Amino acid sequence: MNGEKYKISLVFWVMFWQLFLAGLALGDTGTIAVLLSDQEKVYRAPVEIFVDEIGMPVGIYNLDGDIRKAPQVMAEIFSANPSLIFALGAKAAFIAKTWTRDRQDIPVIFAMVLNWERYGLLTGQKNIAGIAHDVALSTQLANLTMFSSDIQNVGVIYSEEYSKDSITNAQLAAKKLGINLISMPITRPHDFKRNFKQLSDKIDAYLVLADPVIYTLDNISWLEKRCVRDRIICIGPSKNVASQGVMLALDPDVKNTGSQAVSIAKNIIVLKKDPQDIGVMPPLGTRLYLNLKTAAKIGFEVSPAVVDLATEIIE
Amino acid sequence: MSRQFPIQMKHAALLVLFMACFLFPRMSGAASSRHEFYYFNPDSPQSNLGSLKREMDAFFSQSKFAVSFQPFIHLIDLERKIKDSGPSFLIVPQWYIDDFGRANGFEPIITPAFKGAVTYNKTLLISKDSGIGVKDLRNRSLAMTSMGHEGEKKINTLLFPGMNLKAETINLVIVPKDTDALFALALGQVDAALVNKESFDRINSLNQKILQPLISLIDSEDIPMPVLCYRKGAVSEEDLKILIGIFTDKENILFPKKIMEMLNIDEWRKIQN
Repeated sequence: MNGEKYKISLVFWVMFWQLFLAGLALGDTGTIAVLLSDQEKVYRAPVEIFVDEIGMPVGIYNLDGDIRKAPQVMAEIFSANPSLIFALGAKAAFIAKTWTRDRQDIPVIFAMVLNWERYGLLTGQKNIAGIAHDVALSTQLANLTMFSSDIQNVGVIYSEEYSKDSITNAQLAAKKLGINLISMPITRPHDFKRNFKQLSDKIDAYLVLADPVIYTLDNISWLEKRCVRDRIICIGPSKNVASQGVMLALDPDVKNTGSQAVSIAKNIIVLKKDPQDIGVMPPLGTRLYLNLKTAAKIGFEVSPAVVDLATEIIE
Repeated sequence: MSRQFPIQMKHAALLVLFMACFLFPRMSGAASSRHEFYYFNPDSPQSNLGSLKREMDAFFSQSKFAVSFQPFIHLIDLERKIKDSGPSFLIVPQWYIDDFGRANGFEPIITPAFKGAVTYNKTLLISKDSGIGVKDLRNRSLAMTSMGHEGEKKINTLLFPGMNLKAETINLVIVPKDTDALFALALGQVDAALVNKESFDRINSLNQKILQPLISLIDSEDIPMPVLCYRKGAVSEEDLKILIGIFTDKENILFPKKIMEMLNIDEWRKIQN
């Protein structure tokens, strides 16, 4: 009889601890707060995918473009005891960072922040991870090399102020891909043309950077014509440049940013990864644009296999 | 009296115009019963859905079968469109049919085949330098295309049957296409990638340097090819027969070779129920 009582007691305690631990685990997957900078349509698709795929309760908050709303919005967010904040746009990212300075137990993932480095989003805090707005230069180089195995030398003009780190990373990637990246720094937009002329007979292809010193209307318009004249394959950072005449462009699949944010969120919440260890990832989903008219002008024969890999053909 | 006459004429004219708009398309045989045909195949090496749509539109037009063909990159867009306007036909992965399709009235009728096989395989890749084995994938990142809302369960069945490893312990990073997964791995942005073997072969044929540092850890179990389904109640027996005919009729060879190459198949077969 004592043996029976002991067994029942043991079963009871085992069940109790299992329920207790399960309760602790459930407590870890509280509401996720999605914080939007404003009503921009561009946020809708990634948020929709995030909400659809995360498999956890989500609350959506909006600064409506007004940082003065931050105290009220953040008070609402904190009252829900969020397990994570997903911040879209520069305002939301900055506010989420600032307001979690003393609440670094709440991880923050940011996305869709142009030139995120300018806002010091990772500085001084350990709870921030993010997805960069621009496709990594290494990914642009990898896509470029699919078009021709003859591409050995790729040129890029950049400003140290905005693109120094990107170029350093791109050099490492170029080495991995077995190509030679020839980079030239400039400090003023009107130095671009002169430098490109010095570069053009040394390269097979050119990387157009979304660098504020380089990326001016005048420079890009001039570059499109020059690449055709010098028969250089150019790859740029947006569909617009391909539409205007650059042969190739690669930009982020914005909808997939939502999926990527889900993966980072699960990495933090479920797999207990430190946001610091994740850092800022490049967007992994991309869209490749191919301007066939420019390819024909350059005299570049595009194989059907390569056409099949482009997300969109511009004719 | 004379005022009423012009008003009556005006009403009669409007009525005739209204009837003309309604009747004329039917009399000319145009597509009042135009079928919606959706396509979603994230494992396809074919990323250029614009070209695919153009070719499929031309094919259906030549076949005189009224179809509006719409390919989708993202599962969420396909799901929304199906909910809104319920297509007559779908080409979707088998897992979609198993998870949602049958419950929503879709029935597979035709399957593609390639070199006699109605299945394909994915391969799990890592960087040679990483030294990662299958058991080391826990807590690492794996880039792959969507396998639906219960992707982890499918990965467990396809990749890890009988192994002491669960996809729930791996950080799955969903990307829209295999090339994104391959490049992310090649550039060290993720620890592993799961891609259609055909996608790997295609990129490799274009530039071996990119994928040379990668090796395959394991191949998946056989995955059924995406199937062509129809929605019960939305398609007449006659239209169903016509569609099956234009896809599978080897005598006429109606289905264009170009589209077959795009889809990486060489025939369509009726599914025997």
